[in-house]
Amino acid sequence: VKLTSSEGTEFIIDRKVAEKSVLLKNMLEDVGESDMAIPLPNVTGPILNKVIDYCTHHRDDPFVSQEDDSKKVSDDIDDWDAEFCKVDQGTLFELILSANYLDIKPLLDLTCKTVANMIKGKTPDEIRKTFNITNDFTPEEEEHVRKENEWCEER
Amino acid sequence: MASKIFMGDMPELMENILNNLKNDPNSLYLCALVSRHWCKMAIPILWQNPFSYQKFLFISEYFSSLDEDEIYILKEYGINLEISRKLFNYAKFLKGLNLSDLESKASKWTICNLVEPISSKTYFDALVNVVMNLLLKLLVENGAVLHKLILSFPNSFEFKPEIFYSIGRNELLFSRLQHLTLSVIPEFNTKNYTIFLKVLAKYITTISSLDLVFYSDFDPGFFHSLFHSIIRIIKSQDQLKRFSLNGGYHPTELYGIISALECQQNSLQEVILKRCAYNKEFEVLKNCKNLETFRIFNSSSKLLNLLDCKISTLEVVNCPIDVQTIPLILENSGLLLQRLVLNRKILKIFMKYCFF
Repeated sequence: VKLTSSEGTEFIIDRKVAEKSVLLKNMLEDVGESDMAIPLPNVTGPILNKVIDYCTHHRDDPFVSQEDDSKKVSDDIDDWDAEFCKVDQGTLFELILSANYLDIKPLLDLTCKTVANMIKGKTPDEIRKTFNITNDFTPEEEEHVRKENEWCEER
Repeated sequence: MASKIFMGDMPELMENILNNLKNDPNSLYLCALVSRHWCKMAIPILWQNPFSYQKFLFISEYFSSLDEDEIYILKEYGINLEISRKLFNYAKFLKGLNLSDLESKASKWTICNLVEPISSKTYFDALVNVVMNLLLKLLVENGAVLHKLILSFPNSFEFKPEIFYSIGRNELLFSRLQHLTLSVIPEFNTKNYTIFLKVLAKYITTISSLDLVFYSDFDPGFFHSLFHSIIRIIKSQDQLKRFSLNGGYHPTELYGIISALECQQNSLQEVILKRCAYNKEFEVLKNCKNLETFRIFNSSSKLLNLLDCKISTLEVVNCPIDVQTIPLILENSGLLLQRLVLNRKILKIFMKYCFF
């Protein structure tokens, strides 16, 4: 299967690897066998390269159901996946957007878990600094939210 | 510049990130204090199932929506209550509810908010019952839409009739219910429980996963209407995909509950049986042509006869199994079997069989 990134770089991958993406799987089923490259205008070359690395490593994993997210917790990432996610913040967010666009649920879950782990244990101010967020609360609003939810601090 | 994921452009992605923190109320609380958008995203997740946390003071926030008469009732019982207007309608965010969690948190909250300690257990139980009913009524009437409900009845609890009335007037409550767990314990108030199940059976059609837990063998006469309601619940679901039965003490009678699965024979994908003896009612599972996963724990190995050739996951744990059953497992599970989980003892016999 041929894929073209947003800058026009061409990638050739196995169909089984491509089919980890529900978007590509559906496209391939609709189009059938073809030599035409599939354009992916929302994904840059370096990110597509990472996505292909992920899909190649997990090519034989069983399909994960979309429905059950009851077991979703942020601390069950295996070693290979943890190493895969050791990238700068910009790349991590690009991977989330690409996994969402290409509809690769396990990659989306992994990257979202990684960001959740970056949030865990940080104060609001540290979260703002880490992700460059502006605090737009008025002091009264912030106090109100704090007061109504301070039961979370109960031990 | 901050990623657009955190700026409000793609709320579903931010929700996916924060959902990973749903068992960590303190992190969600700190997220809610980051900015207005983060607050809007974190608060609904924080309040999805607060009864599951090891905390109880949040109940005071719910009680800010009580009307004057209800506040008066609590004050008459000696409860110290401070009411103030809230930023959010927190009840609306509730998605998961376990009745026994609600009871334990209501009990702790009551102790903590009493003006003076109560020495009479009867009086205290009556007060906890009032607190629980007020909470339930408030959750129903303030727009909670449950996705998961676990009904394990505390001995002293009894639904007040107005709860049934409120449920009837707020059909959204069960409109998206997907996971239901029913624990049937002989000691509880059977009549009251049965009325609740009748109401439940009337309004739910969306359950995809049903867990039944029986803690004892039953007097069929006494429990007839209760089982009738469970059967009605099974039959009235559009697509029941997962069914689990914990038989407790290997019940000899199943009162038509398993036979009722016939109505779900095209949708059932997973069946889990724990502590079950073989019963002819289970034969209905042979008709479940889309069954993919079959797990049996501490049960009769005769249940393996129910296997269909399409099965892709089979789990057999702590079941008395002999060598003759092994070829049966292999033959019946067929080439589609992708996952086979056996405990060590069975695995040894299995390896021996394969070797010879």
